[in-house]
Amino acid sequence: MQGVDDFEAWNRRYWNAWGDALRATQPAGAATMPGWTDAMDWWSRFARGGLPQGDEAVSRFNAQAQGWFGQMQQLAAQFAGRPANAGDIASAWRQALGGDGANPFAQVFANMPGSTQTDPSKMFEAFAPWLQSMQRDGRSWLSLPAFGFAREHQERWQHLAQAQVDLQEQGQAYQALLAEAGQDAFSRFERKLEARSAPGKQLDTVRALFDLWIDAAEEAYADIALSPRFRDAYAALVNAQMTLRGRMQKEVEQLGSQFGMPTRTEVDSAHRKIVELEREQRRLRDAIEALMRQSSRMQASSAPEVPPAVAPKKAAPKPAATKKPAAKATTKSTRPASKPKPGRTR
Amino acid sequence: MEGLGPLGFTPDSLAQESLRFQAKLRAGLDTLHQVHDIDYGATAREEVWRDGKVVLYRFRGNTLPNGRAPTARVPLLIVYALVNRPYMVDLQDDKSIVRGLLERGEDVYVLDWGYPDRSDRYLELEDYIQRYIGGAVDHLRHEYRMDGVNVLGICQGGAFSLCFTALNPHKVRNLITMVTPVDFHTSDNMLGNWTRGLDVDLFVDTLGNVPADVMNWCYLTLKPWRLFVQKYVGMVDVLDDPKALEDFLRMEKWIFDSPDQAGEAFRQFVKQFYQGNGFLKGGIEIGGRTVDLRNIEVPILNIYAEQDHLVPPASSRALDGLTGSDDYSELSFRGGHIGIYVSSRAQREVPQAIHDWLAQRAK
Repeated sequence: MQGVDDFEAWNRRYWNAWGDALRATQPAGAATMPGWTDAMDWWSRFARGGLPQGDEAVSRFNAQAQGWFGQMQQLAAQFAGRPANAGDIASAWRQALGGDGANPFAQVFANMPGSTQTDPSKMFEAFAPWLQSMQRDGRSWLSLPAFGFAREHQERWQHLAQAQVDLQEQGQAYQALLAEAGQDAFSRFERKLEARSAPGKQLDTVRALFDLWIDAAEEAYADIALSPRFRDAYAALVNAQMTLRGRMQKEVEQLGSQFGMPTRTEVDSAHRKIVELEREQRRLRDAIEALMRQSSRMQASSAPEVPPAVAPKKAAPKPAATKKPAAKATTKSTRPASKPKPGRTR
Repeated sequence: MEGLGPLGFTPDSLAQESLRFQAKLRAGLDTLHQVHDIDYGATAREEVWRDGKVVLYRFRGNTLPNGRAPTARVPLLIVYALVNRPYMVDLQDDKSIVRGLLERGEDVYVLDWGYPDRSDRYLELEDYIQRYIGGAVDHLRHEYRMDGVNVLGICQGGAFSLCFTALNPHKVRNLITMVTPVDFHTSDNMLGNWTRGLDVDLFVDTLGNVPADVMNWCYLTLKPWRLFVQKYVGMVDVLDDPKALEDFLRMEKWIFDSPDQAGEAFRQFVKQFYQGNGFLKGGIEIGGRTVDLRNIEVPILNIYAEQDHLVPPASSRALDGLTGSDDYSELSFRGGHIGIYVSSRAQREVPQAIHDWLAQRAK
């Protein structure tokens, strides 16, 4: 565990130095935490190596939580032991996150565990080389009217390029709403700080200050996220993502089919047939079982009530009427329940 | 610190807080490597029925420390949602609704949907409701030789259970719905708001099955700061407590253990429930049959969570008056959508309430 020991020694020096800096008389803003991110990165490295779920939790901590909490510690350090009103603190927090253009929600969303299916920016990252290459090669003809033997290909590529533009636009509209939520969060943070300024209500820890920001941010977000404006922007963004993705998939299918590769459409078609056949097979099975049950009941009810000793050797002929109810039974889509036997009660 | 504004800490107290944070991180270097078992499932169970990937498990109360055979004569079938995994109802020894029910004498079964893959893309709601729930219910009816069984539907599984009961009223004896969405258009329903403008045909046609990543991202963005920032700062608090860390990691495992969603069933659910709000406005069709909640005449216990951010209380409580039952009860639980399974309050209150309610209707 040499690495862990090294980490401990380094970490102790780092935290002690920071503690000393905090205790010393510092002008506003002078107490900072240089190397916080490095320290957390280092911790994360040594913390890994246990269960996969532990590693994943450490990664999630390192992806976002440590960064935000580190920034909040810096904010707290600026004002520790100094008179400061809610406006000063909220303003410093806003500055720390980027000033008037700050969009803290965009930062949170960008670092969420996403995939090319969710985050627009990550979609662009994944598809960018291909799209850029296509744009570079096709810039001259993308806007031209399509004609000639390659007309269908050109139209398809034009639609793809348009889908990319649409997604960028919808992504910007969505980001604008998140930015609005961010600005509202700063205002709410200030009001919450103001409410904690009375004696007996003050915040005693960085953690409490951090939690207050979380409350403000979530309230601002909920306000926007429940609005009809957000509903429209969200739908437009997702629809644009799906449009671009769908057109990309078509291109891949086009390419695959040129080389005789099976495509997703073909695989889907096969799966659809299998499910439909299974469904039909179940319906037929259920209908047959219903017929058999009905037939058994009718046979039992039509058996002559005579002593066994004088019973005819041949089975009684089935009444012709059995066909009619049987035909009805085939229309049932679910398996009829077996005749319930005398049930136990609870 | 009067007169200093909202901040009541000093440089010294701040430094002390930092040292405590550091000590927790240091402890985490050990505990994170010591935790070896975050497996789930507190209770012995056995597979009793299967249809494809869908399995019905019977849970065994007699294997518990103070275990006993069921005293209830009517089996209780738990139907969970398609999102996330049903082991949430039997997460660990001290967080298990199943265990609580078994200890009180209930005979508990859980339907496990499994993990749909590409070949399941064309499964429809009819398959989930009539084929799978129906198959499990018929199996129990046959085994117990009785007309109807008790059903406990949870979240989306509650919506499925309502549909199943409406379509097959004679097969359900008592119906319990837990954190079940009924009105999908309440003003505080964030998921309902987001899905209403979605072109779900384009969505499913493009994605096929809806990937777990997409579902997880959607749920995380309901409360992005709490679920992806604050929670992991909170994790530092338990880094020096192996048991609490184990619990935290087990919950993490459950949260991110999401099956893909079968595309066609997802399309139908979003259209008929989230967009069409079919329980209230009508128009829900399962396998060509119309769902009419007024067909449900059995006793109903509707349990909702007061701080539920996924299924707001108003969404669940809308069930009142929609069914044909003249024996409708509500139970309000003080907690959230997850707390209703795993909090200590839930362990005390929920199984007891369900058991008492069923017992009263068994007389």
